[in-house]
Amino acid sequence: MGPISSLIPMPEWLDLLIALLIGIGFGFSLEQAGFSSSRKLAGMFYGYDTTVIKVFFTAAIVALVGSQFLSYFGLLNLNLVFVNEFYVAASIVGGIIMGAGFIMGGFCPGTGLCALSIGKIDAMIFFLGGLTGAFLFAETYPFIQKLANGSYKGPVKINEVMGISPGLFTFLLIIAAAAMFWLAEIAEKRFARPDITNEI
Amino acid sequence: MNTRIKFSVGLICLGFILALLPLSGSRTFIVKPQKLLSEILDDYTYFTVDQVARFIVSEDSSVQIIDLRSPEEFRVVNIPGSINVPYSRLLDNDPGSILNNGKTKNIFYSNGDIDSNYALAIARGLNFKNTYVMKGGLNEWFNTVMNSNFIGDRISARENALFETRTRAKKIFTEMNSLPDSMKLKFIRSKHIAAKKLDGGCE
Amino acid sequence: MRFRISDLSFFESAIYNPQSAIKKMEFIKKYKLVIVVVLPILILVLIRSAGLNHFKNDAKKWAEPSIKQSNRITIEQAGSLKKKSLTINLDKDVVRIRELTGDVQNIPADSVLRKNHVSMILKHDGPVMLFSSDPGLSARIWMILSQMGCRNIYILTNSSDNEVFKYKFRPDTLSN
Repeated sequence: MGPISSLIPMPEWLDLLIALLIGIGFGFSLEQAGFSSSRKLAGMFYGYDTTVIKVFFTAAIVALVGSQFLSYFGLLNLNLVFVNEFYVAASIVGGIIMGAGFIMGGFCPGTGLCALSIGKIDAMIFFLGGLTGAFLFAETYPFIQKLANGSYKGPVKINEVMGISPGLFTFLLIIAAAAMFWLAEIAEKRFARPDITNEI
Repeated sequence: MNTRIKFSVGLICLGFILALLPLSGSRTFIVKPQKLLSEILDDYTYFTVDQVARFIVSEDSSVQIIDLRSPEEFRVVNIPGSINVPYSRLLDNDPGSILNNGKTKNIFYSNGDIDSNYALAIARGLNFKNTYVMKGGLNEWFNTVMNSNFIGDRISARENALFETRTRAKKIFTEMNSLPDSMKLKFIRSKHIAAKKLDGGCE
Repeated sequence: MRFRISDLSFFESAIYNPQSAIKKMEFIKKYKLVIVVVLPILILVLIRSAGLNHFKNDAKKWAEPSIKQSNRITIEQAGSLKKKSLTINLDKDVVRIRELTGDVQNIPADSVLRKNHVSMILKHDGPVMLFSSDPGLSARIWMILSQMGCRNIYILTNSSDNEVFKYKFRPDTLSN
């Protein structure tokens, strides 16, 4: 088994429809979990609310554990799963820009759209900023092309670079995540602010 | 007990099981052994050199011929239209990028009978059902197609058709392989690009 | 595994030391959710890793000898082996190879995966050689057995030059 669209030949509209439904589900859960509030997201940086790291890290780990078990039982072919390609320089520069935008805007691109769809004005400005950034990137691409394609490493996997089995890597990642959650809880107590759950 | 801690403990337990599993990270045969055995014992996984000659003469576009020999050997002589995937590198990258090419038949060949059949067992084990072997390899190709000679007085219609195919395949083979090296290289490169990996994912 | 409920000492302690048994009960109750998720997966994993009904190994790693060609052996070489060899004749016809000193078994290719045959191959201490008049068949069977985790298996061939190109191509320079 593998990604559905590569297994069953399906028309493009159906492929897009499935993507749309998954996207709506994703957006709805984000909204329900309170991620459309920039205060919750910014809390991550100030340490008073670490929900973001907990949620996203847990999601990644659950997906990792699930897909590896499915692959072990022969139900999922992990070789068909796309592995993102690694451009070292672009990742660092892009990461810094993205991080700066994140803390200034108070949203990440996904949650920004969530907040936009419930009518938050700051999210609309944030979205415009994102579009401007994309436009600038496209227009200046010839000048930054060298940087964007620089130090290309291909679709690498961390466990392969470390020379350990994928299962062991997962285990280490879970331990690391649990330790991080524990630290996050400590930080939440230390930098505590009044509860905002009822306001958002 | 805190749900979060329970959740963490559960995940750590699962992670521990995963750490002990021989997850190879790369490819493992997915077809069951018994099924794979009956598949590879079936004669339909073989094509004779005459059948391959017919594919070449008729320029059958549903067929991809894969040469498993070294690039040096490939450069000297190869079956027209074939692509070079040395057997030693078959599993280096994703074999799907070579075998998931929309062709109904991928036919492996090497010099003899061994490497091509390893490749077939691997490909079938990884569930690429569109894979076959040219029986006898390039040696048999030379023996049958290149050195074909009719000895006798009378020729039946069937023999005649077979003979004509062999003669035409031989002509194409000789013409293609007699091209100067630079032109051959150009042709090989263009083939190589066609077999490049497909992109996907979130971009 | 510390969650084994059938552990005898648990029941013993339930009789002789009620206090600790109650503690254990509480522990199980607290982690009920965890146990419900982890235990079935553990059982499935154990069943899967014990069975012979599927491949478990890294295809590339176990195909390595075929790339290095260290899995081929000629009849001549086989005659001078020190360890006791087991030769498996995959053909339907019975063959006699004079040079072979070790045990020769006639196992047609289609029954090579029978449980007793596989365990015989796995248990044999020394080289196991596959023989067929068609080296291609030996190659295919070798790949299956190797991927199932059989070490020390070889392909027995009459000559070592099966993969050597035996002809010379004469370019037709006139047609250009």
